[in-house]
Amino acid sequence: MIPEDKALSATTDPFVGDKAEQDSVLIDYEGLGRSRPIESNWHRAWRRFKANRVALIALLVTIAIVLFAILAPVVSYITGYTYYENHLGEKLAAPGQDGYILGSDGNGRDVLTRLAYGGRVSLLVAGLAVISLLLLGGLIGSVAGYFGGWVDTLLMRAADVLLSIPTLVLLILVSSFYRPDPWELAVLIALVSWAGISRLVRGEVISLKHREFVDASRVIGASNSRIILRHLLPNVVPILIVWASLAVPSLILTEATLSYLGLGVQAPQPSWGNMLQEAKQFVRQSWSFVFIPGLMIFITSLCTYLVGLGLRDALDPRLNN
Amino acid sequence: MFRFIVRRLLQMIPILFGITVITFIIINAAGSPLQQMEFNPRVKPEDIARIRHNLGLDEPLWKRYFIWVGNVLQGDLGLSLINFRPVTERIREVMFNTLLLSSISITLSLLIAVPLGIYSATHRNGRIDRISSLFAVAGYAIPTVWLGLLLILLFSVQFSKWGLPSLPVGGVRDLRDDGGLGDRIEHLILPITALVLPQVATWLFYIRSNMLEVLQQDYIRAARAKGLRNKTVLYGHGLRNVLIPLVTLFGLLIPDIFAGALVVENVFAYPGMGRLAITAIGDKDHTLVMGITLMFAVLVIVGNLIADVLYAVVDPRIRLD
Repeated sequence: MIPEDKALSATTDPFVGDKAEQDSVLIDYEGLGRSRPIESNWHRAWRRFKANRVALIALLVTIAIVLFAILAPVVSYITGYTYYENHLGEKLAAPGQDGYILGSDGNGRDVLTRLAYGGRVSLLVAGLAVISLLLLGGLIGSVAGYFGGWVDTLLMRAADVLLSIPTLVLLILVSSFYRPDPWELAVLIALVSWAGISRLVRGEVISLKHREFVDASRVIGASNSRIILRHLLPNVVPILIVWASLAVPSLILTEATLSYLGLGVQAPQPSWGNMLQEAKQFVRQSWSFVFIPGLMIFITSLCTYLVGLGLRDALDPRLNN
Repeated sequence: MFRFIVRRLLQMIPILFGITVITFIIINAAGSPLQQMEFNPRVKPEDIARIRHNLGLDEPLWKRYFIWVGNVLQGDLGLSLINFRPVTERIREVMFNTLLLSSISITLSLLIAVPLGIYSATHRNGRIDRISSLFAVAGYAIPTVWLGLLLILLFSVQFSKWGLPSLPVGGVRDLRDDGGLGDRIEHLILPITALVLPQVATWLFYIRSNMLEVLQQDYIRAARAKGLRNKTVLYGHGLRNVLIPLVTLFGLLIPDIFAGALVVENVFAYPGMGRLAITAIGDKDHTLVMGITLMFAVLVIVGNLIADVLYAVVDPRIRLD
């Protein structure tokens, strides 16, 4: 039924045979007896993802949190407080007291407003870090895997070295003399933690680079960079998406930890982590001030993690059929 | 076994070399330690030149690196810039505390996670399995900092408010009466709980999924078919095969375990290497920060060596020499 010999001749030797023969191959391909159009991978993934109710709810909550952070000025307008304005007479108000919906902090600043602005920092760092990790790790991994030889050895030994120092310790070492803004923090995180993702990409690229379609494009004169960018990386995309969505929660936690240790974004600019750090000294006076920023971190990392798990199930090629 | 360990130790040399290079580069990116003097109008330029010469800072970078590495190889990590005590001495004082914290937490979390993971896998979708899966997801996403603060909030602050026996907020022993073993244990309960819960979550996730995979294998069916008792099948055939990926995971998790200890030490004011690292950063004590980074890296490498040896122990197919 499948015109294998014709398809083969058409692909291996496209200049032999007249146009009608090639057309007939196409017609045969259309006539394979499918009752409905072939579903694209992305459609199938989205259909699977939609069926996973937990992941869908987590996605909605994540979107809500992102909107909450983006709309921080609106939150500030509604609460009537700014994130930096002190009200020293109204320190550590309980939630609901004196018009502070979620209470006030040790300087009498509105916690809800600070949460919204802090969310901007936390989400910005996590988002930017994931993007820079994908770029850096993807580049290093594909170069190492594609070229092999001493390039591969050099890059992978560097990865080994990075993997044997805890990322947090490296970040602490850097921040011991350098106070980064959110953008720089994201790049720093990427610079010290590209080892894992680049190994993943490298493995995939090695398994792909001897396939026929790579040889075919090399035969028609494609350059190395074209093969990597147009033929190899698109095949790694599903794995990258799954990896990235599972990396976001851990990056949110990393940012929170760094800020908590006083090495991330500096006061008065809030981030969920440095709000927790501030709250620690008031642990005897106000439970809500400790509880709320941490809960925010927890919900965000939990939801992004659940979305990541949902994406993994939706994109996992082993579950196909 | 001996030859294997020696070979692994030799393989570590390039990694250790890379670690010293990275640490040295990062710390030198911080700029000259004499920077503050250069801006001080009361310090004469010839004095600065003299100090720079005495400290060897006028030598080229590569030469300074080899001088430093030479000293490190002889076990000399330099003097702390704050109190001029040897860095090795300051690290040695607290290293035991960190090792105690991490080793107890690893042991405890495995003792909880292995039976629970096996039970979850054999009673798939049962009540315990659902609860433990929920716990595994939540434990992955929870910020360690927040977990620690919540434990303090509940067991130290609220319990003492309610008049219940409460646990200490932090530290390693009661300062008023130099308590014995009971006092030490009391101070360890909360930090270890904060470390164990996320670790159990991670282990649980992997043990359950690996066990599920193993239970579908032919050799399990064969073992059941020849009439072995359920316990023998699960623990003799199932668990033995789950241990192999578990040891790999153990090697990969070691940096995370030390990073977790670092965070927990800072939440609970527990005098360990992580606490010392953050103190050293606050003091701008570069030599101490470098020393701690190196020590963390060495601990991770030693942990990986242990994992490699364990690997050979649990998998008889792996020959050591």
